[in-house]
Amino acid sequence: MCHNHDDILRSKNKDLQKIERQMDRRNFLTKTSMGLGAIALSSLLNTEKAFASVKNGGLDNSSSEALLKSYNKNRLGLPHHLPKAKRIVYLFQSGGPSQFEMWDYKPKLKNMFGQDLPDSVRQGQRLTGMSAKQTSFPMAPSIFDFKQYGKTGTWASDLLPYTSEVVDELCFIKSMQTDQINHDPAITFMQTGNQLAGRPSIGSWLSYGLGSDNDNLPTFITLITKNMGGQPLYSRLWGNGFLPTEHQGVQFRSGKDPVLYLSDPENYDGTDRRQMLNYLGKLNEVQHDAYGDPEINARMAQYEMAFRMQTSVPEVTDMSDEPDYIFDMYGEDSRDPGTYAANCLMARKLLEKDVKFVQLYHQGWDQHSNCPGGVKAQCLRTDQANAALIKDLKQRGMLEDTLVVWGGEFGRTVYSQGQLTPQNYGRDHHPKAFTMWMAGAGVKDGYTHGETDDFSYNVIKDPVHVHDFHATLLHLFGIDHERLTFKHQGRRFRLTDVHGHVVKDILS
Amino acid sequence: MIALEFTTFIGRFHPLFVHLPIGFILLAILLEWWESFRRKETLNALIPIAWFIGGLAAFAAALCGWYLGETGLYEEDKIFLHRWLGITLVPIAFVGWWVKRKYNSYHKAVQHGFNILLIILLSVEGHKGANLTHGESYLTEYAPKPIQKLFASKDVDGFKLLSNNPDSVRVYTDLIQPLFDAKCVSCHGNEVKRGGLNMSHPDSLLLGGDGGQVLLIGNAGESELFRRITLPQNNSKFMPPTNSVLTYDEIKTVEWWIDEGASFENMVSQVEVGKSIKPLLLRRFGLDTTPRPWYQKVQIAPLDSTQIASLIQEGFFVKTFGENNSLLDVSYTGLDLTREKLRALDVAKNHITWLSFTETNVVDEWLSVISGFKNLTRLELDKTIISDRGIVYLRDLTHLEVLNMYDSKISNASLPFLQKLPELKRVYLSRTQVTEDAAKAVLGGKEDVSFIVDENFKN
Repeated sequence: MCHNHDDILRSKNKDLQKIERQMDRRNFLTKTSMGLGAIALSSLLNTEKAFASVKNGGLDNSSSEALLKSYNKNRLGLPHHLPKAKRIVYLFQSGGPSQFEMWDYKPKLKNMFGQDLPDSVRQGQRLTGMSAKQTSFPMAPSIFDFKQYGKTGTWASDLLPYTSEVVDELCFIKSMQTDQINHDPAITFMQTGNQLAGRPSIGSWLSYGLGSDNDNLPTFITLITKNMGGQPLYSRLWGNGFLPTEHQGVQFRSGKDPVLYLSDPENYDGTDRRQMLNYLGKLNEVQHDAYGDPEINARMAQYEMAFRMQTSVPEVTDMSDEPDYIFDMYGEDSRDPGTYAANCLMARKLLEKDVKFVQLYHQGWDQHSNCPGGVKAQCLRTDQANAALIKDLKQRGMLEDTLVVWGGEFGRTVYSQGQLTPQNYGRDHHPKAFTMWMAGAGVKDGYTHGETDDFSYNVIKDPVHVHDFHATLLHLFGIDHERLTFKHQGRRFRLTDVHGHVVKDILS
Repeated sequence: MIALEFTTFIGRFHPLFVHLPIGFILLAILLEWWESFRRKETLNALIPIAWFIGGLAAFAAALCGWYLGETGLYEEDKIFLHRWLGITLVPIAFVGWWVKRKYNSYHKAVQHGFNILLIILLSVEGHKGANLTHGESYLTEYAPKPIQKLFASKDVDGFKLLSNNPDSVRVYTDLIQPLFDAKCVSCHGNEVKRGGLNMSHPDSLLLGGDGGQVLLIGNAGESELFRRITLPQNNSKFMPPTNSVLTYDEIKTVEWWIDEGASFENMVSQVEVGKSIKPLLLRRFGLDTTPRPWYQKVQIAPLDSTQIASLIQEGFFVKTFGENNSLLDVSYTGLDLTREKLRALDVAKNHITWLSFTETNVVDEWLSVISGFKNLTRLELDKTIISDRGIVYLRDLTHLEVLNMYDSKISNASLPFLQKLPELKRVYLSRTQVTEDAAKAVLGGKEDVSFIVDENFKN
């Protein structure tokens, strides 16, 4: 280890020297004003900032770390109101799960097998290019049986033997509506509030608004089921958009390296990394003072986070301390890292460590053909783990302040895409009605919100638009969706943009 | 009833007569002043005649007015001055006739003084009468702003609640009584008890009126009081007969109050708030009656930020609850907790409502520090070595709603104790020595607290 880094960094470049002198003056002022007086003053200006400065300035000498910490802390004075949820796990079912085969029981369809979808129901709605040219739209009742479960008597299909056991914990929204009819815009809409790429994702907004509860792990972590085909997922779905970069989701992978580029290279023991980062931090500070680019701060924050993740990530991703009964509960898949079940278990471990937003993606719900077989296979992969996650969180008391969200980007059509036979049919995309469920912090348990018509085509009661869902989600975290804004390109943006109403009826 | 109807018939002639004395007497006074201005030595013969006819007209107006007042269409306290001033005017007008009958029989000062007195009396009396017919704001309603300000009447909308917390608002005292006071008590009060009913006091209200009880407790539809305020407005029994009829909101509030037992003591939070009354209470009185947990109801001054800073310095993670809530969510992570650090929490003992020691080295005895945290509603002691000995320190936490003991050393022995905590709703007990059977046995089917325990979760 070398010690030439201990001296104060001085540049040989004349321009930079000028900046450094200014910086020295600033340092002097900062250091002399660091005392109770400063705290008192800043508490007048912004209480949250005052706490951060005590914690970081008071306890930590490493300037880059202090800066990082104060940077990560919540600087916006949030929450606006009392938060019911502290963490969320969003089980995103990519592709558009069929509401007919799982939750939205439509017994009257049984007698309408093969009949054409009435125009009075469709009302001239535009269809996708995949089924618009069909000469007929024969209605396809689900081939699966439904039964009532729980004290609430919630209807669920036979494909959900496990989740049907926990229906009394769930809050169903059967009247979800979206604006988008194709996967990519619809997923982008669901995850960022806009169909066009480039807006911050929900998790980024929460990270930006509320900061981190655990300095050693990212606030926003993404897990994707491995080896699933189907519609592609892009990292912009958990991207930060125009928010500072450290608020983007960090993807954990299955296998040896959960987070890429985190492990030490061969033949390097990492002992002087702290020193290296301190020096790098100083360099970056010079740079930041010269240019004032907030992205430099973001980069420093990320270096520091990566440093701490070198120990925290192997710790949290280590499944060896989980007892067998936990694996049994989540299903045999959960022993195989990267499966949906294993990701659900991982999600619980991350939530236990106070990671604020855990986003799961599970692809393969796009049943244009062979809907019964496809949905059945998907339920086999996900049903047990969903239920296990609910039960697990419940027993640990974590449903008190953890929100669980399950849902896709849209629903599916009542009519069959392609040939309809008594045993087989396909279903096309349908944006006007689909089912989601939530559970845990701040939402009613054993409750169903909204209703669809007999064809699950139109919402007939209490529609919930994607914007409303976003507004409600932020509300549960104590955020007024109209007040969490970020100025970009000359105007203030929100997750809900100019839309959205909190769905008060589902709040407990 | 015939007699009453006939007098009412006479009474209705009041507006016909009222303007006559004003006109006649004013004419007499103006004539007199005109002549004295012209320095005429003789008095116009018309003047005493005008005074005399004015006196007769004043008598007719007063007589009709008396009967009109008796119909009960006007509020007693507003009518009082108008009535007696009008009656006083009658003899004064005749005295005027007597004084003016002979010119120069009295001193000039008396003559003019009498005239001025009459003008003042007539103006006041006329204005009072007009107020009764047209309402008090009639005259100034379209006046220029500065004049309006000069005569600004008091805010009639007297329903300004001091608190919007259903726990501190009484249904009768804060919602019903102000309404009665504003719209009923002037005729059904201590001084005037029309129909024998006095609504100014709960006891007298319960006594009812000449026709018996006016409240049928628990049944608004059958209560005379409610029937009277909901009759068609042209029905002679409709109440109040004056302009200040009850609004829809007020009627619904009265109905709710009677239906829910017509209690004079209950707070809003103690009364069942139905679907139809709930939005009304919110809209009309700003009362949000949605049941709220304790941590949303506590009103307390915020903790000084330097004290919060001191907690953070001790290693606690402190979260605030936003603008309208001063309570705190405090947690600690790590295995280096000490009793001294815990003592630092004492500055915030009234502010901490959520407290988490999950996966810390907290031990039983240290919990004595938090035994006085009166606003604590959620306590997390999961993944600690807290046992039954530590649980005892929680006995004074009367607002504790959620207790997380997952993976701790608690046993069945604590269950009866926990069941007695008044507000406790959920206790997480899996992965402890607590058994499902014991939990079921202790609860005995009662639902106010649930013990969440699953023996599949083992150590």
